[in-house]
Amino acid sequence: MYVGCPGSPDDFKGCTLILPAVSVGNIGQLSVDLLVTTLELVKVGYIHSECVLPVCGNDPFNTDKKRTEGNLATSTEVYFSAANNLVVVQQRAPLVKGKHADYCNGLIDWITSFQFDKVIMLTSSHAYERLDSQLQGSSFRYIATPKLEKIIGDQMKDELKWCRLENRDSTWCNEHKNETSKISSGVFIPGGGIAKRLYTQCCNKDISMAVLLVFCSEGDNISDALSLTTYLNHWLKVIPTKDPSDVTSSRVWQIPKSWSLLFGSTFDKSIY
Amino acid sequence: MATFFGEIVTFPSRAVDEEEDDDDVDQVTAICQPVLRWCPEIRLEISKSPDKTISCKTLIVAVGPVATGFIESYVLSKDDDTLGVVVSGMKQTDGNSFSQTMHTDKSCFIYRLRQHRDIVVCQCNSKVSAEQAFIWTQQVFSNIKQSSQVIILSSLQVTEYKSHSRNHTTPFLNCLCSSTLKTKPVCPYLSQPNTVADLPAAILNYCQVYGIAAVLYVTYSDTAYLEVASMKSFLPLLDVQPLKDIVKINSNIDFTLKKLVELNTSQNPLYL
Repeated sequence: MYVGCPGSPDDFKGCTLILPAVSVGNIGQLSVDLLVTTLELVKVGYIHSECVLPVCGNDPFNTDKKRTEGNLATSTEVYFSAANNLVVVQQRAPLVKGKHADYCNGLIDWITSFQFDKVIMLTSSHAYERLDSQLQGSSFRYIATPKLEKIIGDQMKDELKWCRLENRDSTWCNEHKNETSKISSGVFIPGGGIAKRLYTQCCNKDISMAVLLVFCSEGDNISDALSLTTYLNHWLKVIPTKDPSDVTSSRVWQIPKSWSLLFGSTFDKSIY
Repeated sequence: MATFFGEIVTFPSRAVDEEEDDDDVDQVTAICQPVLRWCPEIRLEISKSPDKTISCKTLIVAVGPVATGFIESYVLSKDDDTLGVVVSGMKQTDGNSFSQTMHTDKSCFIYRLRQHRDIVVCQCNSKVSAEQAFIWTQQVFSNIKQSSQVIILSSLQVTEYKSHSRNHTTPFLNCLCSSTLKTKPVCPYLSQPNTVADLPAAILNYCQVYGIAAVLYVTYSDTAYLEVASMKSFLPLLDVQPLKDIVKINSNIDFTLKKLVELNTSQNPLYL
């Protein structure tokens, strides 16, 4: 599954792995784009798997003017920053239907064999599925596996003042037949892609893992991605910020070149 | 799909499943896996080779009617050897000729040029879905070992092309290449934020991940049907190696191209 570039590290001991889930509004993937562009992360490998649909394009980041021509971007790539102890995966295409479990198993094997310190999954959830109590206040939530909760639970609550995702039983299937872990039984992330599946598996395998999510709807999700990335930065502090309360600041984050023409080609305005 | 005796057999399709999170659809995937079959003589040749593969210098993969039409007109000749076939399933509506040698047939044959035996050409005119593309690529690359480079030809609709400028003269040629390619491509790189998906992307991704020199040429045309101009948009490739050496002399090329277009448009229901 993971194929390293020549000269890439044999393990990522002590590193934090950041993974996007292909979810509503593609928030996870947009956040990863911001991280890779702003931190100028270096590509160290690929996740080459039959579970991800194929896509390719030219260099999506404008970090280095020289590299932009003819630098191929594949479906799933792995980026690394030794200075920040950060490994970031960018997944540019959806998963093949029915291969979600295989993909998660592959990720878990990679996470354990490369000895990551902790895993953070960035995702989003349908805004229309919010409970009454979730309508007001911040649209940001987190959940952490018991192993990670023990370490960072107090920091999340006291220092960062983060709100844990409220437990909620699915109306239609309380006793889900695939439910293997009681720890994740109340976790409900509709539209969140593989986030819940990976979270459940990390609970079972006792891996330090957190899911960060925002409630959002499909549309122009740039501001959601900026706020999720800023929340992540409050925790990891990879980029120093002056005003921690400002969660939508785009001044900190560099927008990659691939975000141009988000709504298609420019059109002739005289037709109106 | 019709069986030998004419019964129509329906396969369970993943296309009917609209559930986004596939908790329950893991068993529903009945994707027809592509299979590569060699001719008996080639099987013998492979069994004698040390690494059980066909070796060649250059592998040319043409995907779709425009690219296969170009290769058929300018490169392939009647006496080239057919080495094998890649089968990736057919739809009920696909009609093939008895010998499966017509340009409109949904076939995918692998040829070796009689005059230049170090060049292998794959003419892929059959539909390879995005889900099948990974296995297709693995099948082909685990059986064919190329020492120099891979050239992929493909075509897309100009409506899929995103750009700030509206003035494109179609058809136009763009390219993407793997990082190990030493030679300079004959046309501009595909600009951001455009991407290529499906089989051409799967092949190029494979080459990028495993360090194989590869280039993908994609032509953007503005018609849904085969056109002489679209096929001719690949002509700059004939000015450089390796196609420069292998182009066949055909004094009647315009007639050949026109014939191909007629063959394809005879099944076109536009003016029925």
